Amino acid sequence: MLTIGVCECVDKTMSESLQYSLENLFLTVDFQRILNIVGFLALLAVVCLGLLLAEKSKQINPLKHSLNKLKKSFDQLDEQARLIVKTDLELNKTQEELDKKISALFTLQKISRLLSTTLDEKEIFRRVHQPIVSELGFERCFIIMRDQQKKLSLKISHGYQEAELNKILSFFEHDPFLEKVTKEGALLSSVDASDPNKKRIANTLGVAYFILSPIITQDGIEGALFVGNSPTSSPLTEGEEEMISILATQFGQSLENARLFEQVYSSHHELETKIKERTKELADALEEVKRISKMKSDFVSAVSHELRTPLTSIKGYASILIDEKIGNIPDFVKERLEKINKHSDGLVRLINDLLDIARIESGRIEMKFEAENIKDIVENVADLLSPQIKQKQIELILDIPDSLPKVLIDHSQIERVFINLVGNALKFTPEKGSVAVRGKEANGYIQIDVQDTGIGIPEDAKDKIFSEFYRVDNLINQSLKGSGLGLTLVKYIVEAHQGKIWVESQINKGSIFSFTLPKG
Amino acid sequence: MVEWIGVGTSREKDSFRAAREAAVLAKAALKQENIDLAFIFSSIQYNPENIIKGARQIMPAAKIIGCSGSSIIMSGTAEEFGLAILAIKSDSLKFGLGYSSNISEKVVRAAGQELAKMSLSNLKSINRDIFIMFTDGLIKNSSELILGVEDVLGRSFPLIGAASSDNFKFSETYQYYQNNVFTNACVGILLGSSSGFGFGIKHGWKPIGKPREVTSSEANVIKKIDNEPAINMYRDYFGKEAQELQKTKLSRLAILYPMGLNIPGEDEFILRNVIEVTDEGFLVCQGEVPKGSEINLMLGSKDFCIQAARDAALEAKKGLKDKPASLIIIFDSAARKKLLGRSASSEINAVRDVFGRNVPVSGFYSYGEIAPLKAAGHRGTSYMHNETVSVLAIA
Repeated sequence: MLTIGVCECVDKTMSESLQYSLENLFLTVDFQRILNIVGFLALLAVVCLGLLLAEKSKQINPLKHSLNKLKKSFDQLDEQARLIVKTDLELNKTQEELDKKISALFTLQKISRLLSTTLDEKEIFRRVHQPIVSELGFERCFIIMRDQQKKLSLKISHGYQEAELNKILSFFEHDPFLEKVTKEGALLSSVDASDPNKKRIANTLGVAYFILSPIITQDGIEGALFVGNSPTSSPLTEGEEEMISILATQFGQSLENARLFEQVYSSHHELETKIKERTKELADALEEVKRISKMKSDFVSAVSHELRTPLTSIKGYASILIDEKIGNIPDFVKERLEKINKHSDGLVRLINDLLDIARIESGRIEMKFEAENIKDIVENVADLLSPQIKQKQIELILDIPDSLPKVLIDHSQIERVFINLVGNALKFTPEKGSVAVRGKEANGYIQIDVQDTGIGIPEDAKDKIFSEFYRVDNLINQSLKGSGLGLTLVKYIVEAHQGKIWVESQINKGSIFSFTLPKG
Repeated sequence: MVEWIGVGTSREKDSFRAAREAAVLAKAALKQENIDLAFIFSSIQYNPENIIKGARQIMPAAKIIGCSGSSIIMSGTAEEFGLAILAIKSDSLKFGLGYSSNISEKVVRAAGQELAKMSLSNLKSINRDIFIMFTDGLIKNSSELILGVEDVLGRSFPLIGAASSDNFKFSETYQYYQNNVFTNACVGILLGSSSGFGFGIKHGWKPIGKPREVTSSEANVIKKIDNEPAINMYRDYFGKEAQELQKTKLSRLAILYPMGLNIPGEDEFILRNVIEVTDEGFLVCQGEVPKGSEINLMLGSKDFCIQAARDAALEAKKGLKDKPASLIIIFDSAARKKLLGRSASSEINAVRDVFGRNVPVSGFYSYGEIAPLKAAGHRGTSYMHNETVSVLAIA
């Protein structure tokens, strides 16, 4: 190449050709060099690249390996995530089930309390309200019951619209499958949903999951309790089935209790009404008796007064005749006149007694209460009756301690009581018998017992002897006349002193008349 | 500070009497003759028209807004059958109400715009603080609705709310606006010149297993995950148990193990409940799931739930910046209520304990909770959440 450049120089002017040749030479030399350098560099680069590539590919392999490892770990992690998620789901389900059970148990207990604390049938239904149903974990609920005419009616419903309710009723009336619940008493639920009929029930009642439990009472299957949930909630479990069954049983028992209570209450009420009626009748009768008794007293009082006046005249005239103030009279006439006098006295006593009874009964008699010593009165009476005592040789025992407190009494009236009681004792005690008058303190009162050894009073007469005009049928009463007013008067007087009188007696052994008087 | 607040509740079964009773109690607690604004939250058993009539008898002039809920929050308890009225009177607080009805017949985003515009024109104040909205929980693409509202009020405007619910019947939920009862609608209230508010939203679920990718979706329907029918994700974890998802709407499995969308920068994943599974094995969710989302299966527990409620309350309290709360509104997920069961009140009380038990509280259990995302990248954009407890505290 250098030779060619020199030959070209010969044909051209020296300087030009030299310059040209030099330039050309330099250019050619430069270009060549550059080419050589570039070629070398390229070769070097290729070699380096090759080396680098070889190096890199050496490095890539472990990287690839690491990447694969990483990917594997990532997938493993995702696998673990799957495991975690599944475990979490299981845990959630268990937790949910547990929560549900606990909350259902709480609610069940709450409902049981609510149901058992009322005995009103309507209130029992009212107490199953929306919040309680929600608490139990259900969105929809109703109770359907048969009435006395065996017609179904809805007692409560939650979560349903008015229009849906009519559909429910007609569904229950016409679907034969539901008779399993309403007639056979079986529980139906979506827990085992294999039966297509159950699907139909769920659809008709607007839920995805449900439990339908019969409500049974002593009278049989009376209705059904329904609870259900929409598809958004979780499927129902056997635990929930049991819970609703318990609730339905509780419901039946509560209804039964309410009815029993209603029965008891109404019979109690009936009884009360009857008692009230009878009490009123008795009160009316008592009023009538009181009225008649008052009329009687008034009558007796009026008649006695009317009788006393002519009797006084009869007695007066008889006395005048007996005393022979208007001339002598034969003995047999005198004898009869004395009989008139004697019977008149008897009649006067009878009238006086009657008058006294009437007065005490009507409260017209005025008692003068004073503190008195009972012993004085008894001794006084004993003196008064001493002729009879002596005549029948009766032993009179007076056992009234000096320490006995005074009594608050009307002296003359209590004296009459003693005269009557001691007089009776003497009358019915055979000769040589004994009569005792004893005094003692008892229950805050002074009790006096008048005891005789007489013929006694028959059991059936004990209650009657204090009645007006009652006389025990015995030989003594047959021979000795009496008014039958003595003991009545005694009773009235004792009662007017806020005391009581009673008798204990044994036939042929004697009687004890006891009465109480207030302390002075 | 909202000057006068009164909460009244009723468990009465008759709609008219329940609303009347709650209104009387709210008015009594308010200790004022006139009520400016009333929130009504009612459970689904009531007749909604009669609720309005009952409330109107006691508060004829009050502006009324509200909706139906699966359960109603009454002080410390959650009632499946009940009604709460929250009555407010304030000289300083300004508000504007709006609504958009018949949403399914409209372009959803436009409905959101309509709602926001109406509220804005009704607000007689330049200051706007927060928008509270109640949307029908049965509307599928509620995210579009939120976007519509944000078109008018701004992407970063605080948007809080919840989806009305019907206790898992999925048939009809109600929205209240003045004397109207709507279904298939969205109602809202724009608050202005308030003295401050704070909100917090939490759920407490944690991701488990490997993340997957939503490879095909449409609004709230996830069609494919990792190029397989979406249901396979649940089948993969639960085997046969996954059938429960197909058998029942919003099944227990869907509540216990929701899906979580990983949003970079957020403390927690956004949860999505599977409401139902289509024959093709697509998962229908409560709320939108965009294609390309990274999703995980989520795992939770009762304790996490209660702790989440406490955390949400603490976050809301932080937002108040040392001002005392005059009122707490809780939007809690109906799914959480179902999960917590009898412990539902623990969650409410956890919130109450943060603010003090004397602060009036109301709210309901919803089908979705609307609240802004906090991550910087999202600039406070609101989102539809599932299974969360959302706490709004107003100073």
